Amino acid sequence: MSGMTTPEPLEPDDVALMARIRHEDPDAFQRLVERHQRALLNFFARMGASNHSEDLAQETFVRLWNYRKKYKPKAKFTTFLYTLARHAWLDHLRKHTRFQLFAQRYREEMPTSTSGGLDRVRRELDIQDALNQLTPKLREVLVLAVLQGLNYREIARVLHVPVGTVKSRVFNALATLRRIYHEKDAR
Amino acid sequence: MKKTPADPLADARFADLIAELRAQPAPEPPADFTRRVCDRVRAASAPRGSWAAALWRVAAALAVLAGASWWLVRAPTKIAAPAGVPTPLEILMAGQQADGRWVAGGASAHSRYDTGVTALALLALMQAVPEPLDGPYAAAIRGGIAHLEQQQRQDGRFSVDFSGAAYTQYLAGMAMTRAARLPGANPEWMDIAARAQAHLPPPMQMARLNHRLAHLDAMPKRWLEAGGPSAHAALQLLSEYPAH
Repeated sequence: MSGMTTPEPLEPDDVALMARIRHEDPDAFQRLVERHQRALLNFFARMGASNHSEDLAQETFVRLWNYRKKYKPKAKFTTFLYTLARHAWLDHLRKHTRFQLFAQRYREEMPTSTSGGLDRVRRELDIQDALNQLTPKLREVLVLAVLQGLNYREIARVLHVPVGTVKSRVFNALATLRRIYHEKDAR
Repeated sequence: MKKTPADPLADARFADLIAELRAQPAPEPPADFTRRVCDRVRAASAPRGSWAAALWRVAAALAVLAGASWWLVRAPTKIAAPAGVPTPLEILMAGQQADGRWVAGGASAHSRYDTGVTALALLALMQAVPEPLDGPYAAAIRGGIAHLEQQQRQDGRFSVDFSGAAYTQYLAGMAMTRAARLPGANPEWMDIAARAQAHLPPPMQMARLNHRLAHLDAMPKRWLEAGGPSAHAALQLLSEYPAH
């Protein structure tokens, strides 16, 4: 038997970690946080909450701990995680709706001029700013599909809508984004 | 009927756009992110505090209230706010100076921030109160506008060059635009707003400022700290009285 090496223990998958978290295992929770923190931060940053992405990601993990007993192992873990993340995001949006109205009015009221103004702003937006211009409904579906790598079925579970609706929204989101983003080329 | 493609992500028309989206770098998690999450979970799971801890929290809250009352009494009041108006309005009214401006009163404040704070206070008042140029707050609002007028230089700028000049220009320009559109406005105010246009910040910077105004906690902490009570009150008022 000499020369044989002990195989590396397999890294437990998300479902196995959730089973341990259910029994309040802090080490399992820590491993899950380490595994998904980057993806969650990216999700919130792309949803337009770049300055709050850290807080929102933290909030999502806290909710994950609080709802650990609601997780059913037959569901894919990322579906559960992004459902929680989306709820955290919606709560955040509700809190900031009034300020968004204010900013919208700001954009509308600023006098236009040939030397500057917000028309120019719109044309020179980069891809993230263009993404921010989408409605939350279109933005979330695009972020989940393109940047977080969820398939249509998983997104449908997160959003509680049919798969056909997801595809339709992804198409609309891409078409709208392309129009906004390429407006700068029309200069 | 328009048909949605079976897989929009595989649609060649969007290939470049998707590639560009995916090329955006993902934010790097802070080194202590995991520890902080675990600390939060531990704190949330901890048993409820003792009676002593609860009493301590009540005492701390009372101390904060007492401090706020002391500040309000101490601050010079030009116009008494009617009973029942929100506290931020009272704070703003108490914070206006004799020359019409509002000052940046934070720990790291500087007098060059005052124009920006004045513009912010004006925007908040014009949005929050009925009949801004004719009601009980008209004197305060007109005083603030007069101060902004005096701050505008020949070339249309509202401040000297400093790190917050773009923000100052944007807020002051917007405040003058809003003022110029109010019933009873002085026609010259629109000229002031138009002159400010020539010095608006670069488009991307304005987009960022818009974002910060739309998301209060996106505002850099150092700006909020420097702004002090008047800036805080103005931002709070703007959130309480959305665009109407």
